[in-house]
Amino acid sequence: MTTCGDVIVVGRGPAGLLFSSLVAQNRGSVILVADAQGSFPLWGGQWDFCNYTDDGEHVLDPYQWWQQHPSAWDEVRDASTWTLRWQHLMTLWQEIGIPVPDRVPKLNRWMVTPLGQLRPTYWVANWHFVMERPGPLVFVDVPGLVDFRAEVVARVYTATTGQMAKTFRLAVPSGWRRDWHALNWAWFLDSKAGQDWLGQALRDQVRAGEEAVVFPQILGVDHCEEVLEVAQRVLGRPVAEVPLPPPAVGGIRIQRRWEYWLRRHGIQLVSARVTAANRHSVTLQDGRALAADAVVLATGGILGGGLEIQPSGSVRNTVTGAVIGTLGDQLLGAVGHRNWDESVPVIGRMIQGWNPDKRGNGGAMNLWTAHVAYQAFIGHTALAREN
Amino acid sequence: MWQAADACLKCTLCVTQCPVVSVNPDFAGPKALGPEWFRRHQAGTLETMAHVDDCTFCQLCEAACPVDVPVAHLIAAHKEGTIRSWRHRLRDEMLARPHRVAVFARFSTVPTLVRSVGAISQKTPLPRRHRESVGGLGPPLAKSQGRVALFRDCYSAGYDPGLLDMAQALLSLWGFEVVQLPRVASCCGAAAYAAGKPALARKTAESCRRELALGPQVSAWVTLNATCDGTLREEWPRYFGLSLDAPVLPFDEVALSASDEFWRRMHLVSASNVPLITHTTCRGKVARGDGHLTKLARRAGFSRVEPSVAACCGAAGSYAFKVEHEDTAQALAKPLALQSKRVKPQGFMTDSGTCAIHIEHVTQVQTRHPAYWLYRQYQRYLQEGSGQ
Ligand SMILES: Cc1cc2nc3c(=O)[nH]c(=O)nc-3n(C[C@H](O)[C@H](O)[C@H](O)COP(=O)(O)OP(=O)(O)OC[C@H]3O[C@@H](n4cnc5c(N)ncnc54)[C@H](O)[C@@H]3O)c2cc1C
Ligand code: SF4
Ligand code: SF4
Repeated sequence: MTTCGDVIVVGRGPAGLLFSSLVAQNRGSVILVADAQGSFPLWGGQWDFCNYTDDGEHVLDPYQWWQQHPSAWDEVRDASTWTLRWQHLMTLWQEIGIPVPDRVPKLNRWMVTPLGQLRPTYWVANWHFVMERPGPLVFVDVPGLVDFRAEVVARVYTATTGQMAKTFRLAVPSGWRRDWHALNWAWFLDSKAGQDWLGQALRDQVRAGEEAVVFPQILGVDHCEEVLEVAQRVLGRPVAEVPLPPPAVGGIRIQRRWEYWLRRHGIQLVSARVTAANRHSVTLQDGRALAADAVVLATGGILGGGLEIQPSGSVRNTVTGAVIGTLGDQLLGAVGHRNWDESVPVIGRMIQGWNPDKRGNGGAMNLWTAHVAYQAFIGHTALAREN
Repeated sequence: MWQAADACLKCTLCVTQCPVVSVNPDFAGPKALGPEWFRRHQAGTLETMAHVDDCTFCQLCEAACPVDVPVAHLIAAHKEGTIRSWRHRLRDEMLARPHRVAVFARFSTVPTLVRSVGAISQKTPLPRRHRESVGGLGPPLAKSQGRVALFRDCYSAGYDPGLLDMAQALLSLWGFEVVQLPRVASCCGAAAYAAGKPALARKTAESCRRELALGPQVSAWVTLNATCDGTLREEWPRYFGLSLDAPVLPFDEVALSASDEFWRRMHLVSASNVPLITHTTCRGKVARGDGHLTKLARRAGFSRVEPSVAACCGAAGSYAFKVEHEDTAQALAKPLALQSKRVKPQGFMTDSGTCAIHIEHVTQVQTRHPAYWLYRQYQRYLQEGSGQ
């Protein structure tokens, strides 16, 4: 028995979810196969455009950078195409219920890291703290969170920017335990009891002033808008968050909302490992086969399970089984395939030439590769119809 | 022990997907209770951690793990070491053998005193037997598709025999010859494993396997309950050392491949514009994924279908029946209650009988298996005049 769909997407990280959404928005049917959760819960969900030059300097105008530094392909120079793609992400996220502003930014903005340093970023949800230029801030210390020490953050922030930084310490609710991590706090604050408690705890902290109040990212999961509302109302000023290391609450919020939206749109999520793929079908580890008009691999890099390091140091594609290089080579040269007709298209982290770790362009990589594959997919279907 | 048992990278993906962590602040979570406990255990520390029994064995942690750590199964092994009171031990021994309990299905109530002595929740309703008379649906719509076995799970056999007959009627309509197996009450072993009794689980499953071998040769095993589905297809080979000689397929996947004529007829039925919420059980999500029920309901002509917002409803087999779990079970179901208030569905469609009881209890909305909804819709087609 074979299940059929317009397209099979392998991998449910950001690239797979975006590509599936593009198909679903255009009434195509998607089977999304994945062996494990994608990377969203491991990071804050900020989509970077281009943060660093080759020399590691901060990039302020990513549009200009792309125009001046064409990397793999000519098209990426075109600022208007980039704008359209970011705008698509904006309307998509609004439809999904991930709160974002009504306009895409022209420039990178600054975010504060959990260590109090500044770094550029581009596309973030409204809960995520960003600023156009540094100003005075208040950082909130949350008991038990080893990844965010407000005193340290404030000290580093002031040293880096010359701006004032104050701190205050949140009380603890009854039932709190020393081993609570950010997600425990967030689940607690999602509840009505949690929100009531937060309102009360913040009332004791209200002081005159206008500086934005910056929390570590703990302000609820599914109900974070309500939690932020409580904090903003009581404190009488803007409140936003700094994303923390995993489990990363911002990414979890996005993953949950996005996957739910896809399910509402009728996509089928298959939980299985893919052991072979060609242009029209995939084979699952248990021997089942799935068929479709097209297959797209969004299987991530080494961390996502799409690539596997063998004990010998060689790097293997987990779907095709092909050894594509060894660690230490000018890595993974042959991984990216863009041409629909030649092979199974690859999107997201598995594609070569982006280097998000060095350049800070992970979000742009997902956005661009998903759109390119989608354009190829519609071109391909149109061609198939003509024939 | 198993491959990858010691492979944990500490990435925390499992923690982010665990439903119990989200509602129960005492629960240390899959990473701490599974792989981290296991490493200490291997190093000779035999202590168990508090609240390990609060794990529902939904396996969503395991499904999230990028390196295939058998997180939930490690937690099941962890549960084995827990010291429990005699009342809990007695109750757990009983609930780990659901096929024996189901024999008493005709006694529809359990007295309060028995519940209280047996540490059974007073708040959670216990299963009641559905009584429905089920007829055939007419001649097959497709040429013969071969013989399949419909897995007679302990819950359906005891509490919902009509559902088995509805599923059989539909499968026959789609062209299958159907045998219901096993003939005597048996259990796949899932309940015992979830309760932290892997050895009992294996024994139970082996006896079930022997019963299944008494039946005729079949081309597939069709399951109604998502937990049995995952257990037979994935856990039997991996954790029980058992195998079946034909593929195991969930009923709804078989339904999706029914002939076009069947779906055409379903669409002729009037009054299908009723809101329906589809809830794939946690074990269903792990065993095969999500979205199948929504697709099925829409294909059957229900035009206002919405997927459930809950990852796990909290029923988890007999979990919600245990008094110490009733708060967690209620908290897990709360998003469903809120969704139900908002959507005002006419029904819920779900792939497990115990989840259905729980969802029905928290939402007060009729909750049944896809086979029920399909059967009823097709019956309507027959009643409304099949000449179209
Ligand atoms: C710790 C961390 C921090 C990050 N920080 C940032 C940041 O600050 N800014 C930014 O823009 N981006 C950030 N990213 C995102 C990163 O840049 C990539 O965008 C992202 O990880 C790649 O997504 P993906 O969809 O390609 O793959 P992944 O998210 O890795 O998903 C891969 C998917 O494929 C599945 N899969 C793999 N192999 C198989 C198989 N054989 N069969 C079936 N399924 C399979 C996996 O189970 C998974 O679902 C971060 C990522 C991580 C992990
Ligand atoms: S099996 Fe379910 S309840 Fe238990 S730890 Fe894993 S995700 Fe949590
Ligand atoms: S998901 Fe797997 S690797 Fe990650 S922390 Fe959990 S058990 Fe460890």
